[in-house]
Amino acid sequence: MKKLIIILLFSATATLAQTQQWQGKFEQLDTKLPTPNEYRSASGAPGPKYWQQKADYVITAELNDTNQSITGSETITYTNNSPDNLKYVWLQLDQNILAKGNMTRKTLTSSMADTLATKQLAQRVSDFVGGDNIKSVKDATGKALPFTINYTMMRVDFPQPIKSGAKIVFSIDWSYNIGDRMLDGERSGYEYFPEDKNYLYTIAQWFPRMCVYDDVVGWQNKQFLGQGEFALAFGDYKVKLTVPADHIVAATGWLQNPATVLTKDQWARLEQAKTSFEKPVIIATQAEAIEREKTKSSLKKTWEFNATNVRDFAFATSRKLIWDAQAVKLATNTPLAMSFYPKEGNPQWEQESTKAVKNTIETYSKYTIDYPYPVAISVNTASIGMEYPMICFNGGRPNAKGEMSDRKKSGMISVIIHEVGHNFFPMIINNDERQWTWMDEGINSFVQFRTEQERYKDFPSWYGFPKDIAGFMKSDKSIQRPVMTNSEQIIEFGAEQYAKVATAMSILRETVMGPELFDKAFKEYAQRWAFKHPKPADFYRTMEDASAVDLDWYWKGWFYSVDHVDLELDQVKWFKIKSEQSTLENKGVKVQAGDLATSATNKPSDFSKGPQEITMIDTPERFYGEFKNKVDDKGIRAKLEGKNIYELTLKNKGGLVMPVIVEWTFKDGSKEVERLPAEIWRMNESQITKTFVKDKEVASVIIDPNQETADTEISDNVFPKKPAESKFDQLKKN
Amino acid sequence: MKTILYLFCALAFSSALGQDWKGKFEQLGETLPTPNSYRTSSGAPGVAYWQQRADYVINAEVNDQTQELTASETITYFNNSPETLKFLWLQLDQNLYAKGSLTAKSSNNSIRDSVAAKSLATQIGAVDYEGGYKIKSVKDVLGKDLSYTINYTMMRIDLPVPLKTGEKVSFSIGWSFQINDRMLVGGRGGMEFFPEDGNYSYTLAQWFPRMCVFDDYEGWQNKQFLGAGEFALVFGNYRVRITVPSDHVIGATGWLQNPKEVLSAEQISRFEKARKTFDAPVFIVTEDEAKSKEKEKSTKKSTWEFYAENVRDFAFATSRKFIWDAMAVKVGDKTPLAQSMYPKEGNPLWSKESTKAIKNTLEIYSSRTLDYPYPTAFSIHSANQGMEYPMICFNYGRPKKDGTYDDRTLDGMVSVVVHEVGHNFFPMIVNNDERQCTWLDEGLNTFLEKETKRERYPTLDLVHGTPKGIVPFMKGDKSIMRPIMATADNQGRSHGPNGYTKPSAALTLLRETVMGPELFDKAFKEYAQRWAFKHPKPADFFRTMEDASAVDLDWFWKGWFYSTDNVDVTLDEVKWYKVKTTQADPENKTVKVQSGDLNAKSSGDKATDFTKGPKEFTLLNTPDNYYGEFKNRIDDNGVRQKLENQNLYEVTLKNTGGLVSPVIIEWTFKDGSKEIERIPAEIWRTNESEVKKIFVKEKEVVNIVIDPNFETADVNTTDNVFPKKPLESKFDQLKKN
Repeated sequence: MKKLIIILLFSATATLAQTQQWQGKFEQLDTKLPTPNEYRSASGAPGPKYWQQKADYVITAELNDTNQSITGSETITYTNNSPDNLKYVWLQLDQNILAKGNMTRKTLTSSMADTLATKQLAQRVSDFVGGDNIKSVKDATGKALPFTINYTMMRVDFPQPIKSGAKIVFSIDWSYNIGDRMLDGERSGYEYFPEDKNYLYTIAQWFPRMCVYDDVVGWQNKQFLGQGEFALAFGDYKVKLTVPADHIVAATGWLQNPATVLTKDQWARLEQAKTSFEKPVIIATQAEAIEREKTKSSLKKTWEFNATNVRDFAFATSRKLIWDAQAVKLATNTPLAMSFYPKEGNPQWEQESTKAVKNTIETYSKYTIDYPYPVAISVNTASIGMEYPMICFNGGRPNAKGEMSDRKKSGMISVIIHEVGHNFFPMIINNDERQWTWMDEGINSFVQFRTEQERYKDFPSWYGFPKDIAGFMKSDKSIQRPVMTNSEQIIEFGAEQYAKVATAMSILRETVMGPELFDKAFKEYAQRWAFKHPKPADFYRTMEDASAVDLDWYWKGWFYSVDHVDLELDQVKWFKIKSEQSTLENKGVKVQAGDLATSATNKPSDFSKGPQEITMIDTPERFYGEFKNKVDDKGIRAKLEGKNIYELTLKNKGGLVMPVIVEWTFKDGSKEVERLPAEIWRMNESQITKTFVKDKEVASVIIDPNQETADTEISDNVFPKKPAESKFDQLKKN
Repeated sequence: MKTILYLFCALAFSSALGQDWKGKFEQLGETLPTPNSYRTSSGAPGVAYWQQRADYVINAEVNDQTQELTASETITYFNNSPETLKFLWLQLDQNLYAKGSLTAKSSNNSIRDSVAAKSLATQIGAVDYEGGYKIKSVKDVLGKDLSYTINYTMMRIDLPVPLKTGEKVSFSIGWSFQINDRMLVGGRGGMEFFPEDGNYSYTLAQWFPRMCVFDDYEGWQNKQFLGAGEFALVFGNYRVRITVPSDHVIGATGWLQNPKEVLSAEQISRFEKARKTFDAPVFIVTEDEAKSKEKEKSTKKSTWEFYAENVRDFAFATSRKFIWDAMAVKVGDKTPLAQSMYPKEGNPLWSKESTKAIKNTLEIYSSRTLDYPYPTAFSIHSANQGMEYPMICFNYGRPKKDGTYDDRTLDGMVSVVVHEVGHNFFPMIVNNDERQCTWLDEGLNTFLEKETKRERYPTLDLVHGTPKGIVPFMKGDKSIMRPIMATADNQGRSHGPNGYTKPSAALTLLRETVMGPELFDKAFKEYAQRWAFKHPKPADFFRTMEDASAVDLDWFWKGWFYSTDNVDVTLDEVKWYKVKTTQADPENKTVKVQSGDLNAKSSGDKATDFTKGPKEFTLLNTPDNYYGEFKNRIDDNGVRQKLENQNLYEVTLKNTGGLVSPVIIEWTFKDGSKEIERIPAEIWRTNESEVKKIFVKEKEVVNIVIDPNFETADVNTTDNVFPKKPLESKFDQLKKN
C-alpha cells in the first residue's frame, strides 16, 4: 500500500504522548519461543517427526510392615524411538532426596529463632537411614552394568549404544527404608496410627524410574530438589506387590488377581460397582476394616496390577482401608471411580470422595478428552495432596467426633478434585514438571476451578476468581517471579504456579477469548498432546492456532512478567455539538477553538459543569483528496446533534495490558456495558483516549464493573471521582 | 595465538570506553530463529521446505444498482504440509467494516473543537454503512453443510475428516457484501462515485473468503486484520467469472478467457495489435467510446472470465467509465502486456504516463530480481488510493478539472504507479507475510521504486527513500518511534517510515556505502530468486544478503531494523602532528612537546582549527623490547626519513547517535584538491562510542568533512566538519529573518 493512505489512517487516530518507554507489549513472542521444527510444529501440534521414548516395567516388590521398608526388583524394557544412538541412559533415584548428604538439605537455607518446635529440628537428629540401596544393575543376560550415581540421578552405561529404533532390557534390584511423612514431609511414606498401632502406606517414587529423553532438553536429568516434580516416560507396567495378607492395596492399574487377594464378597461387590452409576458400592466395609486393624495378620499376599500407557506407578496399602467404588459413564469409556480411606476419614469420605472423583472425571473429560484409564482412585491420608496415574493421596479428615467445618470440607473436596484432575495434567498431557510446574499445576487448577463452580453450589474456590488474585499481584515484586520460571527457583510457589495461572486461564476464557473460542482451543491442546510431552510453546501456539486470537501480549504479560493489572479512569469529558439553532439557555460552556487541548487545568472530576460545546465544521475540501463526491455534512450534523459525546482517558498503571470493560449508568438508571479488546493499547501501552456517543446522559462510568480483570486498585476506576477519604474520616472509623 | 602478541595488540587500542558495551557488532544469534530443515542458515528454503496451495473457482456478480457483490466460490486446498489438519482458517477481510469490528473497538480517538463532519463521523462510527460479509453457506463437495466459527475477520472451518499430509479438500462458500464507499469509510478497494455523470468505478479486492497461510514458522497465520498489517496469502490458480453491466470493461488479475463474448471485434483487433506493439500504448477503449457509455448506461449484463496461474490473490476493477490502453513489454524471453484503465478524469496524465510507467517498472525490477513471470500488468486509476494485487493495482494521481497538473501530481502519480506495479515482485511473487511484517515488501519495493525513478525519471523527486530523506524521521521523537521489526499493527505513527522509507534508506545505504552496488545487487537478486513464489521471513532476507556477499551485516540489521538509534557521528577532535627532525632549526618549531604531553587529555587544548600549526613529536629508535625473539632489526632512520615532512592527523570520532556507521572522510588540501577515504563500519567494533585514527598526508589539510555527500543518514551534520564552525549567534539568526 502507498503512503497517502497511511497518512489518512493514522494522523487522525494515533494518540501520542507516550510517557513511558515502549516495551513492545503487543509484539510477537517470536524467537522468545523455540523455532518450530519437524518435531514441534508452528501450529503448536506435534510435528511430523515428533517422537518419544517408551519404558516398560515389570516389578516385583515386597513391603515389610515390621521395619517399614521396601525391597524390589525391576526389569525395564527401554525403547529408543529417538533418532539418536544412546551410549547411556539416566534413571531417577528419587528416594535419594532422603539420603545422607542430599543436595536439598545441603542447599537449604535456614536461620535461628528464639523458640523452635522440636519437630522443626527433629530431622537434624533423626536416626532414619533414607535413600535407595542399589543392589545390582544387570543386562538381560545377567551381566553387571556399570552405573554412576549423582545424588538423585543414576547413569547406566551400555557396552554397545542403543541404536535408534532399538530396545534394551536391563534389571535393577534395590531396597529402601520408608520415611515417616509426618516427620520428613515427603510425597511418599507412611502414616502411623498410634491408637490401633497400624500403618497406612502411600508409596510413590519408589522404584528407579527412567528419565525423559526428548527433542528439547535431551536427557532431563536435572536433580530432584523437592519442589520441581517429575518428568516421566510413558510405558506399560506389570507390578506384583507382596504385603501383609490383611492389607487392602490400591494402585495404578487394574487388579489382575482378585480371586487370590479379595474375599468372595469383596469380589462380588467390585463386580456390582461396575454397573452402579448412581452411588458407590462399599467393597471393603468399615466393620471389616476395624476387624482387620485388630487381628493384624502375619501372613502375606501378593497383589498383581497391570497398567497400560502410564507414566508412573504408585500404590497405597494398609489393613485400615475401607474401599468403595462406582462406575462413571463417558462417551467412550466407563471407568470406575474408587476411594480408599481409614475409618478416621468417615463419615465425610464415604459421602464425598467417590462423588468428587466422578465429578472430576466428567468435567475434565468435557474440557479435554474422555478419561482413558479404567480406574480413578482417591486415597485418604493425612496432610497431603499428591497425584499419580489413576491414583492420588488426599488429606482432609473430621475431628474425633466425625465433624468437619464447611471450610475444611470444601478444602477436602478441592484437594480430591485437584489431585484426581492431575490424571489429565500431567499424567496424560505429560509435561515436564521438573522444569515447568505451571503447565500441570496451573492448568489443572483452572479446570479444578471450573469443576468446583459447575458441580458444587456456591463453592468457595481457593482460586480462579480474578478479584482474589489482585492482592498477590500487587504484592512485593522482589519475591515474585514470572510464571515462566524454573520450578526450583520460585518463592511464591502456590500463588504463582497454581492461583495466578488458574486465574489467568479463567480470565482468558471469560474475558479475553470468550468461552466458545477458548474451550475449542483448550480442547485442541489436550487432544494434540494427550499421551505426549508438550512444552509451553506448544500450549501458547495451539491456543492461538485454534482460535485466531493473537495472545502473544497475554502470554508476555501474565506468563513472562510480574506486572499486574491496574487501570485508572483518568479523565471523562462530556461534549455536545453546538447546534446552529441552540438558544443561549441551552449552552453549558462555550469553548473557543483550541481550549480543549489545555486539559491539565481543565480536568473535571464529575459531570456537574455540564457538557462542553464543540463546533463541527463542514468537511473542508482537503479531506476529500481526489474524490469527486462529497459527504452530507448536514446529515451527519443532524445525526449527532443532541447526542452526548464522552471522551475517556485511561491510564495503565500496573503495566499489564488488558481488555477494557466500561459500564455506563445513565441518568434514567439504565446501564450499558461495552467490552473493548486489549488491542486498544497496541499503539500506546500506558495511556489511551477514546470517544463514545450516547443518546442518553451518563450519570456514572465504571471500568471493570464485575472485577473480571484482576484490577488491583478499583477505587480509581470510577467517574464521577469519589473524594479521597480524609484523615479525619479514617480516624473516625478506627 | 599467544599472550605476547596480545600484549602488542593491546597497545594499539584506544582506551576509555565511554558507554556500556552493547554488543553492536555481535551476531544476531538467537534473535533470529534457529535454522532447520525448512529454512537453512544460508537464508534459502531448506530441504524440507513446503508450502500450501489453494485453487479457486469463483462466480461473482456486481450489482451496479445496489452496489452489492454476490458470489460463490469453490476452493480446492492442497495440504502439502507434513501435518494433518483438523480445521482450516479463512480470511473474511470485509468484516473490518462490520459493526463492532475489532478495529473500531480498539481504535483510539479524542475530541477536538472545530472538528470536520467527515472525520468525526468516521471516528465515532456514525456512518450508515452495513459492511461485512454475509456468509450464506459453507458446504463440502457433496453439498453438505460444514460447521464453521467466525472470529471477527477470521473463519475456521472444521473438517469432518482431518486433511492428511499430501491430500486435498474442496469446499464451497456462498456470500455477499455491500461494497464500501472509499470516500467515506476508506479502505483498500471499494467504490468511487462520480456525481457528474452518475457512474461508479469499482476497484474490488479482499472480496472473497481467502485461505489463510499455514506455514512452518507461524502455523496458521490467523492474526486478525486490523487495518495496517496487510495480507498473508497462499499461491494457487484462479478461474473467475464476473458478471457486470455489459457496457463495463474489467481489468483483473489474470488473462481474459472469453474476449469474443465481452469485447467487440474492433476491440479484439486493437488488443491483438497491442500485444505486438512495443513502442507506444494502443487504445482498446478510447476516451470518446467511454464517454458515450457513461451516458447510455446499459442495463444488460455480460460475464467476463479470467484465469490466473500461481498467484496469491485476485482483484479486479470494473466501470463503464474506463478508457483502456495496452502495450507489450520485452523482459528476457517474455513479453507481458502492460495495460492501463482509467476514467476520463485521469486524462491527459494517464494516457501519457501510466502504461509507460508499467513498462519502466517491469524492466528495472526484472533486472534487479527476476524476469516478470506473469502475462500482464495492469494499472487502474482510482482516486486516493495506491493498492496492489497480482497483475493489477489501483493508483491515484488525478489532474485538475481542466486537465492540468503540477509536478507534484505528476511525481505522485508516476511514483505510485511504479510502486504498486512493483509490488508484483514484492509481495505478489516474493510472497512475505504482510500481516506480521510490512517492510519486507513495502521497504524492498520502495527501494526499487526509488531505483526505477533514479534510472528512468531523473527529473522527479529522488530523495524519497534515501538516507538523506529519512533524516527528519530518524531524529524525531523516540518515544513514539518503533523499530522496523515491530509488528505492522503496532507501528502507529512509525508505520509509514518503518514500512517504507526507512528500510528503503537502509537498503540504499547498504548498496551505495556499505556493500557497494556489485555485491549488493548480486545478493539482492539471490534473495528474490531464492524466494520467488515462496514465503520468505525477515531472517531469510538477512541471511541471504550475507550469504551471497561475504559482508557481515548483523551489526547493520541490529542498528537499522531492530533499534531506533540514529546515525550521528561527531568529528570530535583533529590533531595535527609532524615528526621532529633532528636538524630542525628553532624557527621551524611551533610547539615543543615533551614525551607524555600528547596523552594529556585536557579539554583546554582541544584545537578547533589548524591555526596553531602542527605539534611536533619525537620518533625514537625502536627499543629492543619491541623485537621479542626476532633477530632482524628495523631501519629506524629509513622510517624516520619517510615520515619527515609528512602531516599526521589524529582524528577522534564520537558515535553520538548510537547507530554504527561507515565513516566517509573528505580531506580538502591547501592546494584545493580533495580526497575521499571510505572506512568500513567495523572501525567501531572494539569501541562502539568513540574511535581515534591516525592518517598520514603529504599535503597540508585545510578542511575535513565527515559524510560529505549525506549518504549515511547522519542526523546532525553540523558537527561533522573541522575546522569547527562557530555556532551561529542569536544576532546572526535574527539578521537572517
